[in-house]
Amino acid sequence: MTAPRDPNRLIDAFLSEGQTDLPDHVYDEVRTEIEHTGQRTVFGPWRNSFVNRLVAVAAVAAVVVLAVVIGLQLGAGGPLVGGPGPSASASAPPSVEPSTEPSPQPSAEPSVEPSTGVEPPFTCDLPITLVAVGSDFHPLITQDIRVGTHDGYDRIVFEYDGGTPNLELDLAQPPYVQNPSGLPLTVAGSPVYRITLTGATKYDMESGEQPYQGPTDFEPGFTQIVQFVEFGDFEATHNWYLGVNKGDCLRAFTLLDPSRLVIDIRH
Amino acid sequence: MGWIERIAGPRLSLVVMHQALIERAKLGDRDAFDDLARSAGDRCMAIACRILRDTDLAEDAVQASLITAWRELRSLRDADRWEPWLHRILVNACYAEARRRRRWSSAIRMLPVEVASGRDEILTVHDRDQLERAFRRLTVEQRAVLVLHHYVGLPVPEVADRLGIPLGTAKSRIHHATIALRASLEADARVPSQERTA
Repeated sequence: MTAPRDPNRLIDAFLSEGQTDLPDHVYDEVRTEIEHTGQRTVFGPWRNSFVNRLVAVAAVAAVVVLAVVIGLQLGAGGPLVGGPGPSASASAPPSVEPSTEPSPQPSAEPSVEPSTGVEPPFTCDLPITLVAVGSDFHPLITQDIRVGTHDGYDRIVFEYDGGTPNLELDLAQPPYVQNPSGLPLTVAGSPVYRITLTGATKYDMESGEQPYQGPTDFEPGFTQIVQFVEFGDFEATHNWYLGVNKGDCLRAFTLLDPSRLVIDIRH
Repeated sequence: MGWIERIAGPRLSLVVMHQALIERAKLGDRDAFDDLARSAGDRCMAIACRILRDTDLAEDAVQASLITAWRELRSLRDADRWEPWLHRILVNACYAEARRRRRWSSAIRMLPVEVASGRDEILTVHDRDQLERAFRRLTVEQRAVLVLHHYVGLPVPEVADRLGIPLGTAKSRIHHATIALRASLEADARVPSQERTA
């Protein structure tokens, strides 16, 4: 009779086996690559929450001071009678009403960043993947999600607070379900793509805040984007379905300051 | 022996040298980064190989992570965090490689087994085969936590910190992955010996 074997010891032994040397050609390829690769410029520790709060407080204070100064200057030209504040000055057009509710539908105007001239070419090879870039050790918090249409392509932009997550963009096959509930989901458009953002979430677990409060189901009626709908935000993985009018090539890339992950769908 | 080693001892001198290399590399010194890459490359390869179970994919993941590290090095605020920072980039690169290639179930090239001679052999060939099959059925996220915990030897909170996931998630992944691996061994133990050799 043999003594019972410890499974943990077996797992340790199993994982201890295998290659441990990186071949020289990989170092050589890295060296060749970095010879013509620059380093990203970093202006400050933007993801430090204390610094972020200081910056936010300073920005609010600056806006308040500016508003007071402008208000005083306008007030010096004549007394304000019954006005709620500087914005109610006579020079303001009466049709301009500040909206207090976020628009449920995105604007059909090219409200999302137009081409910057540094985008990669469109590709029809799927999946498209991007490797995460982050400056510290927490999931990236989604700051904004925008869709827009431009001459020749529709664009989706995810904005983050100091890095971009892993992206995988691939064709999705029905049935479409929500993650993690598994409940069915109807997605308009054909084909439908699945967007997986690993290392990102809308919820800031540390502060309990959710900076992005906008829509999670877009039906903008653009040339390509029929429906763009979230189907999961779980365990730092953010999932979306993208239904389009016709299958065409796409591209994905990142932009800096602020950190954005961009997906374009060619018309 | 240099002045740092004479004053501080070899371990501290290594840390100081490492920090100096990082600071030089942050200023754009490619030779310094080359030295950093060579000091970290083998460790990265070992981790990537164990997560991906494929030498080619692991090489690609390490290459991608080192290039990303060069490009993003200025965002590394604390030089002491170089290794955790690099490992997080590496694990992300492993995720990307795994999903891009989708070769989990049909991998032809198996991880070469290098067993030191004279070592206490606790794994049978059959154990190894069962564990390999069970390991390949795990998600890449489960593999990553197992490798960082069992192979690198990090405590679970540090695994969570290094991967940027909540502690509960790390615990859950390790728990389910360990159960799956144990189940493969226990199922094997229940199989009559004549079936194993059939």
